[in-house]
Amino acid sequence: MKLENFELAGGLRKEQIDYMHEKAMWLIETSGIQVPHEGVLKLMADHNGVTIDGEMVRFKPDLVQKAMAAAVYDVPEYYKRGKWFMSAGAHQTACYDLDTGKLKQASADDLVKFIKLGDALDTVGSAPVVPMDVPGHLQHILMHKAAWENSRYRCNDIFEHMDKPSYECANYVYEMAQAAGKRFTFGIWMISPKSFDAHNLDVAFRLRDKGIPMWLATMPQAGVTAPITILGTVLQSMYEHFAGLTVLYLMNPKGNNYISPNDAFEANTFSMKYTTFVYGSVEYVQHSLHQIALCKYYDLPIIVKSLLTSSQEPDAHAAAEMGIHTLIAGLAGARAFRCGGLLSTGEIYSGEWVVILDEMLQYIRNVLKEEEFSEERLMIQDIIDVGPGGTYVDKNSTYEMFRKEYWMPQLFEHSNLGQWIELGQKSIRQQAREIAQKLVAEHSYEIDRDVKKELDRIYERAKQDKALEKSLKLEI
Amino acid sequence: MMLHAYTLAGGLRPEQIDLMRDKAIELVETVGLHIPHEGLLNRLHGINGVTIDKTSQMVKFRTDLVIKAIQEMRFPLPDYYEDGWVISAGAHQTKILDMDTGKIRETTHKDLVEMIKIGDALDTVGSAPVVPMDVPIQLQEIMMHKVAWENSRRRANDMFEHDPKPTVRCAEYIYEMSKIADKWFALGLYMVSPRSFDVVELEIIDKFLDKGVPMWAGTMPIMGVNSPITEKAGIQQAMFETYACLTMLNLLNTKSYNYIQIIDSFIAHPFDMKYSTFVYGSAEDVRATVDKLSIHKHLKMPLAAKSLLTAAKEVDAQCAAEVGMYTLMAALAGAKEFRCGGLLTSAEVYAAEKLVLDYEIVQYIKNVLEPEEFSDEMLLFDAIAKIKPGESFLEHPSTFKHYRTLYWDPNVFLHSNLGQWQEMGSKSFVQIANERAKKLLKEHAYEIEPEKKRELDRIYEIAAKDEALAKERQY
Repeated sequence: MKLENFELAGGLRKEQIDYMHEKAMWLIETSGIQVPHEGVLKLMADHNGVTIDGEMVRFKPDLVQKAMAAAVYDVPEYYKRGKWFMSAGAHQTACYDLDTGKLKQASADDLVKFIKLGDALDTVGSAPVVPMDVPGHLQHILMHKAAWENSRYRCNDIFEHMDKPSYECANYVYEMAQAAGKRFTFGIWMISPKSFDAHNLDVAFRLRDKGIPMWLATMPQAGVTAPITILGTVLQSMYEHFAGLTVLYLMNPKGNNYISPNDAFEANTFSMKYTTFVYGSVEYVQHSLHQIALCKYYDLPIIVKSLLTSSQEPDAHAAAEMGIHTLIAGLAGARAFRCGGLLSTGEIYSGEWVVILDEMLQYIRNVLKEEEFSEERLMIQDIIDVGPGGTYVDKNSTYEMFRKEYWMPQLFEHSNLGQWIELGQKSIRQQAREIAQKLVAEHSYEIDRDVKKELDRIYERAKQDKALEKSLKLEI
Repeated sequence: MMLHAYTLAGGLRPEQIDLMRDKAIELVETVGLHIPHEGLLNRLHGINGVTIDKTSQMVKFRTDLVIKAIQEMRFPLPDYYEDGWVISAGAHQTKILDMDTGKIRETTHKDLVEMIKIGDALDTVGSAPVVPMDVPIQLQEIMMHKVAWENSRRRANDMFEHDPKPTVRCAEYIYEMSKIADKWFALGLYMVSPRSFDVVELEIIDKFLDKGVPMWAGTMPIMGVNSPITEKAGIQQAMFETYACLTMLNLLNTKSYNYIQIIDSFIAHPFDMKYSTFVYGSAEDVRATVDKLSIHKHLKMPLAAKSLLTAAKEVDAQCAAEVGMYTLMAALAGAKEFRCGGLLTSAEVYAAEKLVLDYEIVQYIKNVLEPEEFSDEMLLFDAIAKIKPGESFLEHPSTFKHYRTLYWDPNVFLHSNLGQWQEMGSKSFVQIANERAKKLLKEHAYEIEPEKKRELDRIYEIAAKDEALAKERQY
């Protein structure tokens, strides 16, 4: 018989989420959200259940429910299989150099290396770093291009959340996606409390005829753009998500509109001491557990930002926060974990850290693995057979079972002190860097050559495009 | 209303634990244990329900005797246990990470004093953290007790200690000191798996049976070496050995109470066949501990876990990952005491920086698992309704009211951003932990009453001149 799997009990109950849901609906109907875009306001004006007052828009609950019911979450096969995986990177601009270990600005070379490293470890998600040595207007295009050329999963399913900072940029990325047969979506980030970035909204508005999927996200900060309590911030997040999704539903009827699982019901914590927002804190973990409960309740895919830390280095601080956060999220039912490689609350990317995280995920999987309970496995006869002074080392059962009963870590070695000294006293960080370098060197995936040629051609055209350059200069 | 507290579900079920317990008791009756000590065998001889094979020195206890021993055991828990989140630090290591040079070296008397003070500042309990290797061998354990009692409130002073008393004479000195200082004294008996004992430990037990001191039974089988290869079978053997040992103590040590060591009892440790070394902090070690906690909970025994252990050699990512995840599992499974703080490399090295890390991890987990209040006041929907786009909650009265109480302010897991961290000197975590350890040491103030200290000094001086003590240890 199988032992019951370990899982987490406690936390938000159904009736408590029911209550929060009602409150969120009430807030949408009575307070509404600001939609700072004439075109979008006009599109929504004639819909039943929409009330517009200046730029403030309110929705009837049944309309919100409709938008929620219409959302399709096209999760990839590996998610459906329940595979444990890591989404790594979220376009960082600084990184630890994979050769020297020094902190520096990310380059196009780093972008490719980190994508290859991530691919070797089956990671998914967005492009890990921004190529800061490339002109601003080409950065996001190159990030998509490099991701598609060098990896299987990157920027290619619901777990990506790549920016397209201007309409012109979005069009280039869209063209590349069509050429490469890759995923293209457009995401809208709300500006808490209760508003949007007008430019972001305008790009979505102009893309609405393409019939592309659009997603909605918001990241309220407890005590700054949302209430100080985690539950209050989660409630505001629910309210903004549902209201924002309804805007997308009405604005983009030709495409699928959904809540981005990457930041679903996000509620960020803020340090009043350092006046900075904080990932990996105790309160952020508590928020993640609420987030998982809500995703289960609303039947959304679960992916948790548990790989985050406020630590600046891939050290003990980082590992403690990530390990505890990820294990408790895993116990709560998560199998997808986000923001691998990120340090300093998302400011730095580290290849070594990705390797260490991969090891930590293996560790967790082994802690939580299924196990058989039987009298045979209690091995009573062996206990009777081996008397005082005897040993089990030479028993058949030991020989037959020692490999499968025990996980053999690649990085978290079990050597003793003397052995470690003999092996050169390498730090974990050194060992992780060596593994990362090896994985990059041995990485072999590349996109079909004809597709690559086509992507190169589009990229070359983008380089010469003055309108594209201008579209992003205005933003900067 | 509070949200339901987070706990661990799954794992061993009550009927599975009952089956393991019944099998263990059956093994005590049918297989028995080896007691290589004539004196103790003689004391056991003739007791109803005890079967002795004089030739093999194998002793079997009838089931009713085992059950009686289980029923009569007593756990003298200290008051602080109920509140939980207690750290027991150190387990008499002989190597230390030097706080000034960062190098691993042999431990000294100075380290012993300093590590006890740092531990006391962090409210830790348990045994003396390190062995004073610069002190003559026959005096080391005596010194460990003396320094612990002189410089800390809880060290070596309740059932969470397991300091060795390696010879009869040494045990007698420590016993005398404990009387003078009004401190805890108990004798532990670790089995030698499979199913035997160390003769010297039995001799000490034999000599102390008239003193009326508490005694405890412990065992630490290693899976695939001196217990079967599967974790459950390792625990099965540990249960068998612990019950057998407890029954023996219950029959012999009738002037005091006896109990099962709450850490090293119903647990077996993994062994790495690649490095041929035993391993603390591995995934399998975590699973074994969770099983042990399930067993303890079901059998109504205290809940403690050796979750601060790691196979890491440095205070690094491996170390914190193993300790953090291990301790979370243990805490969710109900552990109230977390053991082996400060230990690195499967308990070969002690480090003050590691203890600072352990303390921070335990505080972090405690705060994560703190039940949240679910109420309209916490949901703050009126405030959400009233706030307008572009406005901020920074000046909202609820922010001012709650920001200190609802958020944990860490000691060493700093929340600074990159720029702030660089401005503060780009200090590594180990540097930050090292500075905190040194600060705690500097500010530590506790010391034992002067008259008690004088008495302890006097006894120690006698021990220092005791040639019989030295000779006994040479053997």
